[in-house]
Amino acid sequence: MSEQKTTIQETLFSVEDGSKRQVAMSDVVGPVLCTYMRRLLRQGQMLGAEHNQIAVTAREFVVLLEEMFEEHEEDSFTLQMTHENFFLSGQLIKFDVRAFERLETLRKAFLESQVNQVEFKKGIGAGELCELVVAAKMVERGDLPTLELFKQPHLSISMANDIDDDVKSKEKDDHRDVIEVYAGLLIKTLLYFSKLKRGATPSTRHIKRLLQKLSDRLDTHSDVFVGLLHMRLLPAQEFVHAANTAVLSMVMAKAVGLTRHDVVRCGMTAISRDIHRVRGMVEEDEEIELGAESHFKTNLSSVMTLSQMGTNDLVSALRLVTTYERGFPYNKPLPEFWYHENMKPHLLSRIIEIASHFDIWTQGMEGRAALTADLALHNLMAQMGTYYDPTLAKLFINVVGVYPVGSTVDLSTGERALVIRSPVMELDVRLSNATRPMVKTLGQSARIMDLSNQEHYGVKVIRIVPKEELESQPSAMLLF
Amino acid sequence: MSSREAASEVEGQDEALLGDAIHEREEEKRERQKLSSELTLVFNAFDRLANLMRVYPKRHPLVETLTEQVAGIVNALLAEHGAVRVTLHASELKLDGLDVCFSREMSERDDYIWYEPYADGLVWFSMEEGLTTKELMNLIDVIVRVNAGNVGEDDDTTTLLWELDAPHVDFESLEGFVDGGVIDDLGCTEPEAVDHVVELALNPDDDNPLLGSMFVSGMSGDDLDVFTRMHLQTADRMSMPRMADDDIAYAFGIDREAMRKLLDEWGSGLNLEYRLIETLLSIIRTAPKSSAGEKASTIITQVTMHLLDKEEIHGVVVILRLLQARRKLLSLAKADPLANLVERLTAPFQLEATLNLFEKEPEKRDDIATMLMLLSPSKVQAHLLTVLTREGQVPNEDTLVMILRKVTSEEMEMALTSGEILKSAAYLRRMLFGLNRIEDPGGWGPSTRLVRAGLGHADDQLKMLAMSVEHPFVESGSAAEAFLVPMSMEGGTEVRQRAMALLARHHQPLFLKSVKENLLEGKFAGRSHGEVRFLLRTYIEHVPSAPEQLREMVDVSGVFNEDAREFGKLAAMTLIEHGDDEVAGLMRARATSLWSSPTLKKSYRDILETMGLEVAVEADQVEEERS
Repeated sequence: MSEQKTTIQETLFSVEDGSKRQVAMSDVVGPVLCTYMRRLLRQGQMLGAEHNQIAVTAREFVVLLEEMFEEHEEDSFTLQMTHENFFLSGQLIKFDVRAFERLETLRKAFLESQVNQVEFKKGIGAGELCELVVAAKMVERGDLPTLELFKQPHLSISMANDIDDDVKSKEKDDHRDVIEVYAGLLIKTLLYFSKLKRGATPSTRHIKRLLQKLSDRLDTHSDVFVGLLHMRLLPAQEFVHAANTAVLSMVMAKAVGLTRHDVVRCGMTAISRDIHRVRGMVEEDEEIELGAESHFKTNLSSVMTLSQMGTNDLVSALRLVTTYERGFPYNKPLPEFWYHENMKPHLLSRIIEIASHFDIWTQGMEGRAALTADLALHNLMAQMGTYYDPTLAKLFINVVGVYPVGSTVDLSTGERALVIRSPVMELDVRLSNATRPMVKTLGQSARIMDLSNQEHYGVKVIRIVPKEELESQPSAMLLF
Repeated sequence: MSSREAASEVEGQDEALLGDAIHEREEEKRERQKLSSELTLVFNAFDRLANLMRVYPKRHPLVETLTEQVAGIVNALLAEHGAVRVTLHASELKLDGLDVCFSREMSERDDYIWYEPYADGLVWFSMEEGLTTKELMNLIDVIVRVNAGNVGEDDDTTTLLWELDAPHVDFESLEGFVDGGVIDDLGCTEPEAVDHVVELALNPDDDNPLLGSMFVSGMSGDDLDVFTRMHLQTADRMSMPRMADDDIAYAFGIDREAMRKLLDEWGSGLNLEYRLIETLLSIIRTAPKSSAGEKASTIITQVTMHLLDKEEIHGVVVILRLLQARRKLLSLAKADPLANLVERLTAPFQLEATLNLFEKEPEKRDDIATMLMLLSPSKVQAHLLTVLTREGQVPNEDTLVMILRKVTSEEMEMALTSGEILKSAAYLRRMLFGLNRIEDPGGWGPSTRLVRAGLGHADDQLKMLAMSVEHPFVESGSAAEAFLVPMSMEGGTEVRQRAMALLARHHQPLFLKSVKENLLEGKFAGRSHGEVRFLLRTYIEHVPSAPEQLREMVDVSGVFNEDAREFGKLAAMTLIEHGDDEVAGLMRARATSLWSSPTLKKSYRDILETMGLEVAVEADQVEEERS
């Protein structure tokens, strides 16, 4: 491949006009919770648990809590602490240095009382906070063994698991680690979309971290990720579709030869390109016909809405391009063909379209049954050159395979097998290996066969066995 | 050996081993403490660098110079001690989690820039020998940006460090979530949800606790955009006969050339930049005064600034051209991205960084010059002139004139040679020096006035510089008369010699006139013998009648004209070196003449003897001279 020049795609993007990035909820709410908790406990120590000042502080705190519940549209806040940090509902709270040092006493007080988690619920009263101060005093005196026994209707204390070490030092299982990346991506995307629906504009940096981990593992575990998609672990919903499209886009981007940064950008663009729809902000035509002139305005209005949601980062910019290009070509009547050799959408848009449509076909939707992968790929083949870039489509078919990893297939030998590796992709050969993956036969005498090997040329895949026909689903461990 | 003796021996061995172990531990501890102290210095240096980078852009000469120095210090430390790992804490850094090596109190600036990365979840980072200047600069840049909040919504310290791609820097971060509150949508906490999904993958036949909670309905067509819906419907209507696997195998081979084209398409960048700007400009065009339009403008500015940050100058040029072509449209926008870019890219520090890049990256010079031209040539020119007139050291002097030439159009040339600016000796010196480095200086409008100013300046150095420029004016008759001839007569030795040489090369008549006036009339006071002889030699080489004229000077009589005698001696030596046949005879005659001064006689005899010629002087004359 020719040496890749770097341009806009290589830019790190940051806000330089003096405006800070949007502050996370944890950075706003977290310090307030910690400060007031510390104040209450300290007042309890110095003044006694029944002192009037505690009630005053508690009332102030409760007012602030109610405001914050309203502002952030939350019903509860959970404050967690470790030996080194504070977290709000799982997000690290950032303090200024002096505040952090002052809160050492709060952390110590809780951890020594064998608790590390406090949950505040909407409707909390000042009296409940006063009771907490009383309970803390009792623990200090030895009248109460632990604060974990403390419970109020809107305030509870507990010892949550696995917060003892900030960095998980437990033995890492590499295979589980890989699956966790995909699982984490699904859940993080779900949470991201949930917050969007509630009107927030949450940070995506944790999603990006996961995609970076995924990118690091594509060299060795690309097949596993494709296999996990095909397991359809969760029913098809927007967030599942977004995460899957990201994974497939990244697999394709990697196969094209893009750098790891660009692979991650592909993934991020795929995840976030429809966030304006998630938030329900779109007004567009129900239908558009070929030749319609209004499609451009429809598309532009979508793009303008989307542009309001992003900040000035490159991913926000890239997703504008991909959204804009759905209505490609610009400013012309909607044509029959989206793709044309001489005038075509950007490579990024073309990659994501293939990934997105393949996922919709294979995951299914309401009113649309899931297709097996080979049928989905036939749909792709039918529109190569008119809607889909033929080179990319071929690449996709070869990389993912007509019988993708994770599919259970029937072989011409009469055996049933699990596809465990994508076909070996060779360039400049007359015959592609797209239909000849590596399989592991199921049953007692399991054996692995690379169907692209000459010794197995006589063996063919007859069909993908639909999930409904399977008595039991193969474990993801078989993919390793 | 008895058991007691054996026990005693073992005990002795144990004690020895224990002693060794303790000694080793103490030695290790001392080493660690030593390393910690050295690291304190390193992190203070990082502080200084971070401080500089808050003010100056990355490629600014000051930043580069300091980064190189600091990288050198770091690598020396790493060479001695091996790779270093530092753990981050709220208010201190520790070496391998043990010894404190840096804190706010240890900081010379009472600053602790490592809290924000710590708060982002960074647990440790390490550095290995071989850390490059670029890696270090980028690492500190990340820290500075994180501290300033200059990061996008999808970034934090961890994601930015990952993107550094620095082989000599490693790090680890917190996962970002721990056991949190119950998520309403899932009915469990986030880590529990992840665990459920993982377990489901490992044991797919087991019940899915997540299914019972929220997933009652799947995605529907309404969740898709109208174009995707349309397309899926089109695909549904199309029927394609199912291809046999063998047919697929034949049809779907991939060739290398097609793959290379895809990669080239991405790598060329023009495509995406064009598309991105088109998208954004469409927004501006549709609603120039709207907040969406304003946002689009801001994105254009930010994209371009970061292309510059990544030194992708060609990309910047592409965008600027796209914007320039739409200047009118953009001027209607609430926030004009072109105006924003011009302002930012022509800010003094940014210009200095760009000029530094011009100096350091020769292959990017054309693009940089084009970029500067597209911005605001007048602003760039004004900045360059300010720098060039500055007293003291100026970075990248060598290339400033080169850039100035590229950005200065004909209409702007006057600014380079105004009366006011020409008064600056520093400016004139740099311009004259620079003229020698540009192509065809004579073809550049301002060069004539600059050379003229140099020739006419009181400072000898400037005169010399001006005379060294390969320029038609220097060779012109007007310059010769106005400047070279006077310089050949007055001023320092080097200036006179150089002026004479130029005259001799380009203006013989004037040269000869000057020599005649100066030498033959005896006006060579203040000139060294060497200089006089040089002039005499040059004179002889160029003027056929010169030997005859000089012989007349050799044939000097009288005792009172010391200057004439001195000149006569020099003329004699020069004629002899030239191979003149007659001068020796003249000298012998003078050496014996009653009308010659004794010193002259002796001098001529000495010269003849030194030159290996016959002296032929009478003995009584020698006696007379001795007495």
